[in-house]
Parts: sequence; structure tokens; C-alpha cells
Amino acid sequence: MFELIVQIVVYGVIIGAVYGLATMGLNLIWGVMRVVNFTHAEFLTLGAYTAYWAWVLIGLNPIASIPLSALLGFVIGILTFYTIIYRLLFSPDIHSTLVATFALGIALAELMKVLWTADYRGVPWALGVIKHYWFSLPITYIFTFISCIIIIVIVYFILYRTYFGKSIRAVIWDSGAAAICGVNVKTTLALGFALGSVLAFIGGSLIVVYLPTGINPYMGHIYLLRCFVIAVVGGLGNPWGALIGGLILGLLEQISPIVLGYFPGIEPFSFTPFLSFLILIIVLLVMPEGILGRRR
Amino acid sequence: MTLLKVENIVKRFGGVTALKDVSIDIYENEILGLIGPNGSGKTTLVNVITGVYLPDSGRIVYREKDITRLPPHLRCRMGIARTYQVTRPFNNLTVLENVMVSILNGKRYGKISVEEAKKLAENIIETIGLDKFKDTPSKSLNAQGRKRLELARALGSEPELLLLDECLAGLTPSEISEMLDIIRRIKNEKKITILMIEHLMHAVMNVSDRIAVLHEGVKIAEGKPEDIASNIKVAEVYFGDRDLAFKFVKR
Amino acid sequence: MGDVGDIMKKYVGFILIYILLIASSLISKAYLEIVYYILFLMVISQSLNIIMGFGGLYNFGHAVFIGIGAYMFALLVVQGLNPYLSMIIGGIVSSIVAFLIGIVVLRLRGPFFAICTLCTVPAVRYLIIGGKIAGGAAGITLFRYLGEAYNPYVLTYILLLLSIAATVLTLKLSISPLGYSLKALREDHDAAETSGVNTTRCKVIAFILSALFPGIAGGVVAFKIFWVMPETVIDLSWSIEAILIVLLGGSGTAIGPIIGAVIYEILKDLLMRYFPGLQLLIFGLLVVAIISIAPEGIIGLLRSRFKRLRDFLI
Repeated sequence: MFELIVQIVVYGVIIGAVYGLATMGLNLIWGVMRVVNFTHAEFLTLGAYTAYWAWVLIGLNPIASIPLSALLGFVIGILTFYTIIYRLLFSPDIHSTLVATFALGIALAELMKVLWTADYRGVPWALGVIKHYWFSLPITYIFTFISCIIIIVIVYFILYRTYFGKSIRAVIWDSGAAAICGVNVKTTLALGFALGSVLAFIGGSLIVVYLPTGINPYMGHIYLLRCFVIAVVGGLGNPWGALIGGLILGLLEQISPIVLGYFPGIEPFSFTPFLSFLILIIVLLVMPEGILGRRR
Repeated sequence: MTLLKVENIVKRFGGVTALKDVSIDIYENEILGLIGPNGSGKTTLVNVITGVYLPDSGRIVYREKDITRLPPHLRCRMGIARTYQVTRPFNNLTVLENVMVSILNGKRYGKISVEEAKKLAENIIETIGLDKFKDTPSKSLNAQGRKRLELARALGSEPELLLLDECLAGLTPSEISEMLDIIRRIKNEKKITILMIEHLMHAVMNVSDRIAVLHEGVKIAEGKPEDIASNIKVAEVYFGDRDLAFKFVKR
Repeated sequence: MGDVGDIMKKYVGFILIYILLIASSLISKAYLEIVYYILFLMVISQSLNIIMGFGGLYNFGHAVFIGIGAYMFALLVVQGLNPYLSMIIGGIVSSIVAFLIGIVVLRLRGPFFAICTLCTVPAVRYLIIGGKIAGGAAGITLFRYLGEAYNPYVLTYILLLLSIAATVLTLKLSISPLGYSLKALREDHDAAETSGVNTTRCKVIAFILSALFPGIAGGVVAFKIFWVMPETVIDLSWSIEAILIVLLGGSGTAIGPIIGAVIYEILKDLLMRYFPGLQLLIFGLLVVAIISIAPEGIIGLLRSRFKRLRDFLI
């Protein structure tokens, strides 16, 4: 029993951390420019495919392919921002960016299907398993977790020790005041979006470690729900909220199938996402700003 | 007869108490001016009366009925209408359609057809002087047009109590006197009671039957315009110059 | 006599388009397919228009209503019920579900409403698979029950009827008190409330109405594909196509989605033929173009450019 709990907590934290990292971009983009990036899931998928092709073509494992994902994420983020997002930021209809990013997401998914077919692909990177008294854990998971922490620390440094980070935080707090203080808001927004998309790509690459066979153009659908639950529960405007939300969801996904297993009429692994959806609704109704969001 | 009683209303927003135990009576057929420095809680009070905010404690009583928890749309149908300080027209709807909305959903809710509402709207628009803009989208109106539209739309629901929130702000002097004429006419012809939040002293002093003064969420004075003008507390808080106030009243 | 002229003007556009569609459907099987899909798009976008065009609420989960209708259809047909009756019941059940979802979700504003409705699509899929409802992931096959009754012409004309019904509903809505109230709350929620609009009631009614026709259309889809599974009948791309067409044609107008559906499908077909694979990227750009250049859709553009056409384009 004790081993079970430890196993749950360990897996929950390790996987939750990556979920959190993968979602940080979503929270950041919302915080900076009040845009819900409905393309987020497809950025994740693209990150996953980057890891796949890096593995197949160059032999890089997912962690080693992080710089590549980051670069791609940055380029695509900047492109997306300047072609689409920026034009729509000031339109009177607040839904413009929602519809545009949603359409872009679907377009990207179909593009991936055309380019790489709908076949499921995987990165079978395995380094063995550590067996401890109370739990066993694949070594790759540990490396992934460590890289995750490192990246989070890097993001922390960027946000709190660089001018760029300060300008992002300023714009999150009050873009008008930031502009008056000399912050180039447009560039900040662009780089903020790019950072968000970089995080999504990296998250996608790392998630591959947990999905030995599951990469396909439509994997975004699964992460759509997950990421929004994480983002909203944690607090949309706050990137650290994503981490908290990620941990919560990570733990939920470990605990829930076990509890649901006692109900005969239910398929536990598929029902858990539905539970997370119920949580999403409850949080949206009761505490829409989430755990770390700004109180209205 | 007291039309509306505001009883001991307290409204807090986080750490700020916008209204601290405010009580005001509004009598039928009067024009009550509500003045006070910026941030004193005037608009918040109107929001509480119309139901946009729920108070933390206290009651709003309209014609002997406790409406404190009543949703805004029902208060409108009972006869309470308001204009907004920063105008909020239904942008993509024409002036005519804007007024039709409140006619269809106000006092005659469920009892009037769209064609009849259209005719009524046209009448109101003519009274207010916007008939040239009847079919223009309201987002294209200038400042004066918007203020008049706010008023026209509020009148559409056939209110007994009209809450005007700085309906003269941003208007030129001639526009102001036109608006004041319209307001006086409304009060006399339609027997509507009016609560008027205003910063323009000469306007509010001349038009109001009584005046209430709010300062930092507290009502510090209430009475006839002359009395308010000579009130020491009010002078300290607001006018700074008692003689100037008297001159306004004499005019 | 002027009145008859006015009435004719209003409906001429619709009549022309429908006649064109019926005629095209008789040309060949291939054309029938296209007309089928155009009519399907008309139904789902016209119904979405009620909540999105009039009410300003972007329901990204509109596809769920189609899925519910499809599943109800399948469950009833398997029990031996007449397929056409099953379709109608599918629509009714879809409306009931809309009511239940609506009273919860319609309290949310703007982006939160969008996020929540978007997430209902995967959520309902997981509910079906996870709760092992109606066959779970494997779904329900209908060959045994419907094989012989299948007639593509009948299905297409059912969609035609649905499209006409949805359009009539939208036309009636645009001159009804509910229509005015919806447009008001779309523009400014609080100002609508203080003008007497019961925003909650209006939103819920609009939501229920918007679910009826997709529900019935879901039955048609199920009939066509014979195998009802979460992935096949709850398809996110239907949501985006409906939203796109409403925006392309013109939110809140009755003829907007009609024209929008025709143009969209024709464009999509042409692109598929000449630029296979790229059609969706171009499609993404199309969305951006519409939103930035013509936020009022094609109808909006036409109405402001050609004032004389105003009476024809409602």
C-alpha cells in the first residue's frame, strides 16, 4: 500500500512537472496579451514531431533535441505572432484571436497529417529502470524531470533577471503603464508569444518520453483538454500557476484510474480526462482566476 | 411619497469600502442631485440601486418592496432605468434598434409587438432630437449623440425612476442647456423621478429639487440646493469657496 | 402591392440558392455529394448563428450537438425505431442536453466560455469511451439495421428541409423580441440587463434552439456513415467550419450562413483539386483575412458597398 502511494506521488510529480512545463506557455501568453492560444496543442505536437525526427534522422534523444525544439518553437512563434496575432490584438471583437488560433491549429494538424501521415510513431528511448524499495522508475523519466527543472529555472532567470523578463512581467501587470515606462510593448508581446511557443515545443519534445508509441498529428486533442485544465486551475495569467496545475493533474491522473478501477462499468484511463473536465468547469464557475491568478 | 429608499448600504471591493452605511430617500416626482468628489461612490450607489452590484449589507426598497436581491432586468421592468457615465450603446445596432431593446424588455415586456415598439421608439427618438440618426449604427454617433441615446434608451423602458450618471459630461455649453431642457421636459411631461449624478455645479444646482452629497462613501449632507451651498462640511470637501456656490444658486 | 414586392425581395436570394442546389444535386453522384455537404454546413452554421451571430457567444463545442444526435439516432435505430423518427428524437435530446450544459456554461464570459465549450468536445468523447456508453470506443454499427434503407438523395433532401427550417427560424428570430435582446446582450451584457433583458433566459433559449438542427443532422450523418464512433461523429473540424462560415457569411444575418456555406465548400473543393494538402493552410489564412478585413462577413461587405442590395440581404 505504501509502495503504491509512493509510486503514485513520484509518477504524479515527474509527469506533472512536464505537463506544467508544457502548459506554461499558455498561461504566459494569456497573461501577457490576454490571448488564449488555441494552437497550443498543435505546438506541442510539433515539438513532439521535432523530437521524433531528431531521433530518426540525427539520433538525438528527446532531451538532446531540446535546443532544436526551442529554436523551431521560437521561429514559428515569431512567425505566428507577426502574421496573425498582432493584426488581431486590437480588433473590437475579442474572439478574433480565438478563432484564428483555433483555425491555425486545425490547419497545422491537417498539414502534419499530409506531411507525415496519421500513423502512430514513437521514440523508443529507454535506458533501463531504477528499482528502489518502494517504486520503480525508468531512468529516462528521471532525466526528463531533471531537464524540466533546469528549464523552469532558466525561465525563472529569464523572467526575473533579464530586462526582457522584467518587461514581460510589466506588460502582464499593466501594458499601458509599461509603455509609458519605455517598454517596447510590441516587441515584448512578440517575444512573449515566442517564449510561450518555445515552451510548448519543448514540452512536446519531453512528453515524447512518456509516450513511447503515441505521436500522431491528432495527439493535440488529448493535450487540449489537459492543458486547459492545468492552465485554468493554476491561474491563467501566471506561468507558475501552470506548474501547480500540472502537478495537480499529474497526481490526479495517477490516483484516479486506481480509484475508478473499483467501478466495473467504467474504463478508468479514458474516464479520468472527463473528470478533469468536470474540475475545469467547477473551477471556471467558482474560481475562474485559478489558484495563482489575480483576484478580481 | 418615497419612491426609493436606500437603507444603510455597505459595499466593499476587496480592501476598499466604496459605500459606508449610506441611506437616502428619493421622493416621487423630484429631481435629486447626487454630487461629490471623484471616487466618492456615486456610480457605485447607482450600480447597487440598479442591481449591477449586490451590497454587502443594507436594503434597497422600491415602492415598499425590498428589491435588494432582485436581478437588474427585473428592476428595470419595475420602473428603474439608468444611463451610464461612459456611454455604453449597443454598438452595432442602429439608434432605433437600441431604443427598441429597452421598449421590448421594459415595462411592456411581453405585451408589445416589434412593430409597435418601433413606432414608440421613433417617438422617443424624435423627442430626444436624434431622428436624423434613427438608422445609423450607434457606434458612429458623436459624444452628444451618444449621451442622448443613453437617455433615449433609458426612457424606452418607461421608467418611474431615472438614474442619470453624468449625462452632461463631455458636452459643449449649448449642448448642455439643450440636454437640461430635455430633462426638465421629461420630468414634467412623463412625471418621472430623477436621480442625477453631476459634476457641473450650475446645472445640478439649478435643476435639482434636493441635493445629496457623498464623500468617500459617506453621505455628508442632504437638503435643498441653497442649504447645501451654505453647508460648511460640503464647502470644505468640495467647493472650497462658499461665496462662489451662493452665486451659482442665485443664478 | 409594394408589400408583396418587399417580401419577394427578402426571399429571392434564398430561393435562388436552394433551386440551384436542388438542380445541381440531380446532375451526378459527385455533385450530389457536394450538395450534401453544402447543405450539412448550412444546417450547422445557420444553427450556430443563433447563439454566435445573434448572441455573440462563440460555441466551439457546437460539434457535440451533432454527435449527440448521431448517438441517439444509433441507439434508437438499433432498438428498431423508424430512422426518420429517430433523427427527430436525436434533435430533441440534443436540445435537452444543450439546456443542461447551458445553464452551467452560459454564465461564463468571452474566452472562458470558448475554452469551456472547446473542451466539451474531447470531454464528451472521453465520457463515451470511459463510461463505456453506447459501445464505448467501438461504437455502434448500423449496417444490419439500415443497409437497405440507404438512399443518398433522401438524406440530402432531409438536409435541405433542415436548412430551410433553420433559415426560417433565423429569419423569424431576427424580427422577434428575442432577436433584439440577443443582439443587445451580444453588444453589452450589463447595459442589456439594465435595459430589462433577462440575459440568462435569452442565452439559454438561444442555446437550446441552436442544438436542435445539428441534433437532427447528426442522425443524417450517422445514417450516411453507418458506424457511430466518438471520433467520427464528434468532430472538432465541424465546429471550426461552422464558426468560419458564420463569420465568412455574416454574423447575425439569415442569408449569411447560406451564402457562406456555398462559397466555403466551393472554395475548399477547388483548393483540394489544385493545391492538395495546402487547402488548410490557405483556409487558415482565409480566417485571418475575414476577421481583419471583413469582420461583418461577405454580407456585411456587400451591404455597405451596394446599398441597393440591402433589401435582398437580410
